[in-house]
Amino acid sequence: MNPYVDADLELILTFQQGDESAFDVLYERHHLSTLNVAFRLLGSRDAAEDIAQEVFVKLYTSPKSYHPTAKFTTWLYSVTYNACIDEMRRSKNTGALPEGYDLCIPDTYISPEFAAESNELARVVQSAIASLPEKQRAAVVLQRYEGLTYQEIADVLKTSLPSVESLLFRAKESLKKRLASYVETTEVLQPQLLK
Amino acid sequence: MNCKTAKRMISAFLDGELSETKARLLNEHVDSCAVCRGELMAIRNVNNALGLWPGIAPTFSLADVKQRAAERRARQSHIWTLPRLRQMPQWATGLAAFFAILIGTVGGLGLEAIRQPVHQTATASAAVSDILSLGGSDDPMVDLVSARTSTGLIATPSVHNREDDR
Repeated sequence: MNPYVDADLELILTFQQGDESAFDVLYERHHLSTLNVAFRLLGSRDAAEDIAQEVFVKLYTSPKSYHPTAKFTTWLYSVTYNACIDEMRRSKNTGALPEGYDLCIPDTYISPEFAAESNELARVVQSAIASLPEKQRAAVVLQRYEGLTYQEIADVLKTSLPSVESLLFRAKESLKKRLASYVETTEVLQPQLLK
Repeated sequence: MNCKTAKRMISAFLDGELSETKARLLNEHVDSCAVCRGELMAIRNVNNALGLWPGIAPTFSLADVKQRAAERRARQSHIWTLPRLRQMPQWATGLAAFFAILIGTVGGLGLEAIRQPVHQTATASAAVSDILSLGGSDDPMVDLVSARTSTGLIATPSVHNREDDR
């Protein structure tokens, strides 16, 4: 459970009453995850930065657009997801990696060879995720990178729990095929290792 | 539990989303099925591989967001219609333009249709009042022709006198 949940609700309610410092705290807590959800859905830094800023501009200019019927993070991820879908349809952005795109991998502690290999693997992973249909991609991003539970993902995507299970099952099957050359699939675990 | 059911549960199992009962059943199946153990390992490796895609740090700041919000507010308060027009989808703008042209055309034709009978009525009224006011001649037909000619209801005829022709 995210320890920020109750605090988020308190902060947004405080901001709705006109205390701007509450907005600053919400921004500090959530701008990075908003940016990275958009980045992983769109595959473009520029578009992701634009979307992330727009999400917070919307919150700043229309704080009442959030209703306390949903968790604040659910609302935030929903707004981000919908903005990304709009952007994909508007610009026909499929989330595919653009030519010459350089992934941001920290290289202060790794050798150039390892950095190159990591960059290549990251590129392959991004390309594999970009190949997924929109909802499967969103489910993977929200589960794997943001740590949302299946129920929270269902709330964000406005779908059912079994539907999320199905989305993730199909997504993992597709990713397994796409990443087959990069992940070891032949090794069979000993039964006791599973426990 | 058969392999098909087990396979569908592996992803949820690794994500910690299976109930205790289902997780136990899956564990029992995997213990005895090498194929499903392989599948579990493969999905676990996929999960690990996904972690190789790092996130990014923003190049914008809180101040940038507030600046953008202030600009948005300023634009909306000065010209409230233009942003709305810009937000309209292209088809809606096209439809609005079509109706504007349609209303203009229908309105124009309507005005023309209204103007024509008004003109004729006014001219006829003038003719009647001319007849009533002229009355100088003993012959009412002469007065009528004279009045209609003066109001332009009929083309001015050339009044020929047979004697003049001769």
